[in-house]
Amino acid sequence: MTKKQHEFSAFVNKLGMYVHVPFCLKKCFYCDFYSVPYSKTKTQTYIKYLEREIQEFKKLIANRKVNTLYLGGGTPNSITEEDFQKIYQNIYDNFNLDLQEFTVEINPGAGLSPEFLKNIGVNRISIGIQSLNNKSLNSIGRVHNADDAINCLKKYSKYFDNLSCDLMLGIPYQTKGDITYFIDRVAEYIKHISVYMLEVPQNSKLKSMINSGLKVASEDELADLYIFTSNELKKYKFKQYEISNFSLPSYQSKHNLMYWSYMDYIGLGPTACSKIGNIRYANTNDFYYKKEFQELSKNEMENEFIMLSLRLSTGLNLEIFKEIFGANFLDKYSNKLKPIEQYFDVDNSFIKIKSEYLIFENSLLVELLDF
Amino acid sequence: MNKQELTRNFCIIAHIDHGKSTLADRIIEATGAVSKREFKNQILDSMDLERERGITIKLTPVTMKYKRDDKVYTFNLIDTPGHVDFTYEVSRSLAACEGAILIVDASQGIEAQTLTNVYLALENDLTIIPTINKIDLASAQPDLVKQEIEDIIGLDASDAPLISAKEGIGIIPLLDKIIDVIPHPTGDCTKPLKALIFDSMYDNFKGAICNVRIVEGSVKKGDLIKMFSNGKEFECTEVGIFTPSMLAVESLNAGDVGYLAASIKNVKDTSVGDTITTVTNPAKEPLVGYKKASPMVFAGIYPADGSRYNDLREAMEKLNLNDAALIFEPESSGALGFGFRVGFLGLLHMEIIVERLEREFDLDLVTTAPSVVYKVIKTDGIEVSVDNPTHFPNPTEIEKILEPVVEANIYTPPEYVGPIMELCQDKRGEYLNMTYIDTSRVKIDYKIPLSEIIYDFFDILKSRSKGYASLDYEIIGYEPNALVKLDFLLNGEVCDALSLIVHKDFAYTRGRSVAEKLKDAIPRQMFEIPIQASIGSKVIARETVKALRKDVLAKCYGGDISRKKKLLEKQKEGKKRMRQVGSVQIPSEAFMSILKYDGR
Repeated sequence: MTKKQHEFSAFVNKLGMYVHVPFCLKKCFYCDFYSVPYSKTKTQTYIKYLEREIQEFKKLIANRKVNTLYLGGGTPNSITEEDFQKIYQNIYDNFNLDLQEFTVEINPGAGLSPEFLKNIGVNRISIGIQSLNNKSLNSIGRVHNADDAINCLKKYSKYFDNLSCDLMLGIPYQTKGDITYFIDRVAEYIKHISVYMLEVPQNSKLKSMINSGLKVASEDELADLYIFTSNELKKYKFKQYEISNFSLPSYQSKHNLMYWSYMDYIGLGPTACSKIGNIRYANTNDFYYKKEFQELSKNEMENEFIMLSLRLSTGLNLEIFKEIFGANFLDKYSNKLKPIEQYFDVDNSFIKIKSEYLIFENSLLVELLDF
Repeated sequence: MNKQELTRNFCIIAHIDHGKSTLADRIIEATGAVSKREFKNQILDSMDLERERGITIKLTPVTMKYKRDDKVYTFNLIDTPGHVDFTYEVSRSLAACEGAILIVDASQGIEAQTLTNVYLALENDLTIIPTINKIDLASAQPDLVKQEIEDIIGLDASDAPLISAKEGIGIIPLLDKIIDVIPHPTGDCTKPLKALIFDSMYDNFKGAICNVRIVEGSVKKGDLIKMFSNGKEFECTEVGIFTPSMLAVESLNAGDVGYLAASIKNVKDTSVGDTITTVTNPAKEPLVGYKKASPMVFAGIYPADGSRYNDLREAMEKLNLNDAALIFEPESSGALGFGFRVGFLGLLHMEIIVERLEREFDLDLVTTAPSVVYKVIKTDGIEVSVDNPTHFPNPTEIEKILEPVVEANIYTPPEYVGPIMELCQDKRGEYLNMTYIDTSRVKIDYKIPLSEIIYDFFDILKSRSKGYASLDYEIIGYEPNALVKLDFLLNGEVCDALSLIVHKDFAYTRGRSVAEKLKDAIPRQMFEIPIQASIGSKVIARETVKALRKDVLAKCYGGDISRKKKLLEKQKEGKKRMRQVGSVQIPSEAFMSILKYDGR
């Protein structure tokens, strides 16, 4: 590693690991994540690439402990238990695992039994439910229906205490009633929920459906739905801890918190990204992916640190900022903060965006940051 | 035969795409003035902008030799621009000629703009050769077009040359006709010098260069010359002709067309229409028809990115070297920062200058609404000239406001008379006269405030007449009118760059229309933005930009950071083009969008 990297060692105390599983049974209409249709032979190639990549990272991080592991996708439960075992074994054999959290994303209607995952050491499951309105689910091309989703929750909740699910806002046919119903139904099973706003990528199937008349929520309606959802979640004591994430106390995603608090992480698989010290690695957007890397300047790191930590409801830790960047944040940014100070709360150790203004994070960052 | 008998000075008059520049190219080719290697189409249109728009702004003359029957003739071709803003420049270049080739498209016939220049040529006593172009087209109807020329202009077109400039057909017979029909110049070489400046330009080495037609006398290097308009004296350092590149010659004599350099530092000392004479043997009277070029339209020009003010200043200075009609001085605006107040001959001139600044100097500009020069008589009796609505005195200090009015002459086929008169009435026009030139042309004269002409008059005139009507206007004086200053407030603060002077009867409509446009142009921000149009403290129109409800909020995990950063960088880049008015951010484009003709 370069010498520069050690300047930032102060906050390089934890390490997360993400594995991108690029297979799906079927691509959803809104999706622009990298995924390919599942095939047994392709999975073997994928595993070979992962093995190679694991060896590269093994050299880079030496014997550092890995604190969290997250398998996401795609649909990680589209591959067989045998192949899943292979991937996990390879990681286990090559890294010093000290896992406080081991999450697997699953989609209702695909494989991987809860017993199997439990036995391998998984302690957190994130289920891509998105909606319990079958018309909505159908319109965005999900493979499952509402019954599949509830059955999946029931099945996994017998083995896992730490369950999370996704809720998508702004999809076709969605009403506020649907959101209330969704939360009422899933609340008894889950400890964590990620709330995403529908994004319609330029070249997606959904885009062309919208062009031919399918209706999705407008920006204003999305804002309404978002505020409505966070209020509904309060009824079940879910607390927002990040722009898109809510949880019961102590059930925040430890892995995802690493991104927002700018810890180091390793990403394996196509399109996955890693950050180790001041180096960012990014895997290319194809099946036979390659690795690109970029050295981040101190200014870039500072911008990223601010941009990510202001997503958190706890906000930016002023002491850590000073420790890493050697400056008092409030002094350094006083001129830029002045005209927008009404949007922030400041106390001794944190500056945060007031919860009602979290939805303006981009606008506030544009005022605050110089690129 | 003396030299004058072997010289022909002429220009080409044509509608915009009837093939003027192409014919000029063919004539130059036929006389071999430019080698094939140097040849590029539309040589006389020296600016890229002219070539692209297919219009001539700057006039580039060319001197050619044409041999017939053992005699070598000198042809001086003077190209002419074709827009109402430049009518005066056209009339001066016509004054430098004895003849004109009138090109008419064999399939389109005569069009409005052609007529304006034909009348100008007739006023200048030019011999006109009607010439029918594009005879190679399948849709060509030369006989009908000939008839039209005779009916509309009253010129004998029975033996009009039939040509195709594009295909090079009929060029030689046309050259012969030029010799046979157009009178050679006259003028006594021994009399005191009278040289007509019909254009000027700036050369980095030679200083301001005058394009001249020697009417009487002669001039050579070393002569002490004097400008009639301002009495300034210079020593002539070079005289020459355009081939079309500059070629120094011994002397220029009565009847010649060429250039004259005299280490003149400022193009403003070389006004179009002025007469040059010599200090030692001055002419008693200048040539007739000199008018001082006076800008009629003023607008603020600002860099879209405020940090590029110095680049804009340098660009203005460079352009000014070549464009004596351009005047400017620094101004500052609360909304737009530092920029310039610039005077133009008209809206097209303004458009061209802005486009040249953006293109040749790679600038991104914001222009404010064009304004005329008002005369404000204050209650204390003092009269002030105001070319920027921002500088209008307080309403309580104003006794009366006078605005420039023009006599507008509109030429149109009779079927558009109704809509055009309606337009003139709508624009506070006062009917003066209407003349049927013949069965297919009407001339309508109105007295109209200049401020109405510069707003969107020309665009509407063109749209109501399907492009056939043409407009010429001349300032005839100042008249008092019930004018008011219309301000626009954003979130309670006046945005100085948007203020307008309007007639009080139009204030309500205009205020509402601008407020509506602003509502569409201003992006939603984190708070609600009231837009108000007001006269003094009275609000006459109101719109609201609703508060932004949320940003585009995407999830942001390890793999999303670079993408998110790019998004923010793009947003930040966009912010640089935003202007801050109090707490409100306005995109630079918004200032332009309110000026646009909205198709009424």
